[in-house]
Amino acid sequence: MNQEADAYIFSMMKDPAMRDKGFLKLMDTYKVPVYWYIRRMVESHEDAEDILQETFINVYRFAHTFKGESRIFTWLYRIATNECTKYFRKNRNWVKRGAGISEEMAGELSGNDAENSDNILHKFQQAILLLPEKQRIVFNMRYYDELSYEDMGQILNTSVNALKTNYHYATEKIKQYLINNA
Amino acid sequence: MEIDLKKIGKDSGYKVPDGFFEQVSELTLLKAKRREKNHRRIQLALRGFAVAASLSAIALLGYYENNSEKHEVKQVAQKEKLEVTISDVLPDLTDDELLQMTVVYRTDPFIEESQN
Repeated sequence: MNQEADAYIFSMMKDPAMRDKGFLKLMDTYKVPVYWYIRRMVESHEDAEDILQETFINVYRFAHTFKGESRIFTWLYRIATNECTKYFRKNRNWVKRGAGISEEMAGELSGNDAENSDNILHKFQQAILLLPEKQRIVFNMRYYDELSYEDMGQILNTSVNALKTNYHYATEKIKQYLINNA
Repeated sequence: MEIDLKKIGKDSGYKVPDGFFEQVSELTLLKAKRREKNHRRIQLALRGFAVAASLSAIALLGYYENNSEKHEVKQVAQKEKLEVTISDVLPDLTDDELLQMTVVYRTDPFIEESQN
């Protein structure tokens, strides 16, 4: 999505007569990547759906405050990240479930059967879910969404060096997990 | 053992219910509009409550002011009342009241004591 198209969408959203149309266009453009970003963070579809809706409801309410200083997708990712953080705070034992993740996630993964539940993809997701919150956010943004460190810095309000360090530690931990559970 | 994460690929393997992406935009818009409507209602209710609270405060203040004025008037009246002498009251008394006073004056032993 280019910046001109983004600007057009926002000009629609700021016009009361076109607001809903602009909102639907914005959502249709960004819902899939934002959903997957959230889903990889929280694992369950129901939670991801709630957080996705909250993210876009915030956009609907506060679109008039968007000044266009950053790109829309960085703004959306920032809101989505805040919503995920709220979710983690509400569900403090989410990360502590540890060993329980495996069985719960097995149901969420496609091709859920005894043979598949043991595959590398499953373990890879497990390893990501066991990462500390910040490292998980950074890893998902970089690995799956292929965001640049500069964009990630804008979203997370963190320096590029700190992000690189977080990503490095995250990949090392995932590799170690895969080796230990091979 | 060297692991290349890139070989694992980008598919996270999670499932999404059929038709989810087709419906979620409209659903979210409906929710957003409902939320905004509720938010406006709450704001209006809060404003109404603030106005009612201000009016109550003004009324209470007025009542208090009025009462304290009345209280002052009452106090002045009581003070004035204390300064009234027996001769001011006598003309207003009926014959019966005067008779009763006389009886009390003659029979009450403490009146004499207090006079002494």
